[in-house]
Amino acid sequence: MNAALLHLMHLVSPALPVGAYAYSQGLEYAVDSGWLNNEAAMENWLRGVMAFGFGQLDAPVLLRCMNALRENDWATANDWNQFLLACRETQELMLEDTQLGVALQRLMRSLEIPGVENFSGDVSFASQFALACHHWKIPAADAVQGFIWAWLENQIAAATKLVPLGQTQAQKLLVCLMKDIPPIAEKALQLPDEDIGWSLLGVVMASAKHERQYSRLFRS
Amino acid sequence: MSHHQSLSLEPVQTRHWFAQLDLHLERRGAKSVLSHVRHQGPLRVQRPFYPEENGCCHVYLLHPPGGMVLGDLLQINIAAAPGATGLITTPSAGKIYRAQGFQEVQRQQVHISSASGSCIEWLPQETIVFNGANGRLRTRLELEGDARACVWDVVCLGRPASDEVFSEGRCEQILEIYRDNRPLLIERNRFDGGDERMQARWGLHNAPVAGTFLATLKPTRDRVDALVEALEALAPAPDHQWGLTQKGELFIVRYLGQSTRLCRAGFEYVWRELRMDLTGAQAVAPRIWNT
Repeated sequence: MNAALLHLMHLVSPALPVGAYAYSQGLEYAVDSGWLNNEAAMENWLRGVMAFGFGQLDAPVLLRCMNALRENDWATANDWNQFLLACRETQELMLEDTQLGVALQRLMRSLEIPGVENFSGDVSFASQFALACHHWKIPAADAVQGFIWAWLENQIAAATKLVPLGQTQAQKLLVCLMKDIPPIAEKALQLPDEDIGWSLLGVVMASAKHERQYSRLFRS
Repeated sequence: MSHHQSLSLEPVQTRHWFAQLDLHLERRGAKSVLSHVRHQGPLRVQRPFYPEENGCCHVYLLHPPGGMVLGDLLQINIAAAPGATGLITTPSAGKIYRAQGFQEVQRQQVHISSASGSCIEWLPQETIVFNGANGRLRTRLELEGDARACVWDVVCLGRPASDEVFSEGRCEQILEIYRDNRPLLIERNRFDGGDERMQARWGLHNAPVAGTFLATLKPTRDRVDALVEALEALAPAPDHQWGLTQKGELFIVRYLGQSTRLCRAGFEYVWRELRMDLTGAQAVAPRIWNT
């Protein structure tokens, strides 16, 4: 039996009580302002943000935190956590990450996972996800795929609420974009430090404008 | 060693500049002064101006060659002692010329360290990145204690006025702000000519101009509403996008769009509006901006 796989399924479940469903990462503004007015545009947005945004920032930072934890190097894990939070370009993106991070931290504390107290200050979701994966001995290559998967599923769920995207269409889109996850995960494993965290200015603008959007389904 | 000078309108690639400028600002009585200036290579400063009553030191930074060519490194180090106030700008746009081959990189590094009680405004004119350039622009601020700062950084990719699109080459624009060694913001932009990130809606969406303004301030909601309204009137969507946000102690305004002139006009407007809160004095714009 593979206990690590079960723990990964637990961590990437949309039922994990961290509240990821409340955020859209600029998608709501992009949809409302007509930037994504067809399925192809939605697919292009999700694919691009997954590969060049989440895939080149959160994913490699998760891996670096896991590496550091394996070495019991808390200083480096904390540095990557701070780096990730500093890379959040807007109030909304910062709030989302710290809210998810603190929720997972709280959960791990109640599950009596050791080491939670070794992160200081605000915590990013990736750093806490790394700690959970480390504790449950989930291999890094699996952890990073699951991590990207959870992000994608959450974004598809957000898209389903924002545009008339039927259940079947949403599932088709999910399965189609899933194919990108292994190469993105592979790239995250190889990425040099200096290529981590390039901004996607369209997403940054959408997130900043979403903060000021009059009526919203998703949090800001 | 022979020199083959090819006939080209582009600057010749045989020069290798290294230029460094170290500036120290100190408070002496009612005035902030340049207490130490050291330069190597073609970077210079003019004698400072004092157009304000509060002794804020206005400094123009000159780089006579006017632009970077292959193999250049421009290193600008600014240190503000406790209580010093200074506004540093440049009289003309920075330029990164086309590189022939990408082995070598053109770098501009600005390092500002500000002691507690100081206030530095680093407001350079834009950097024009010629098509085919290979540039690295890095601005790093290290603030201590309650040091204040206002910074903007604007890049123009290609030369839209002459229909030159940034279709090849690369440029990185990195802006990092630390307070007491903790990173507050690390903004990393990378532009690759011809890459899908240049066209995509989630990327630049073909906008040639990207700028970031930030200040260590927390303007009120009403204030921000008024700024958004003014900026959108000055330069409306869809050709111009303005993104305003308050990330912790940093107030950030970003521009993505078609016009360097409007980006700068917008940033200057925000700067004027917020200057009193930042320095306790009304803005007096460097005269060089109007020329």
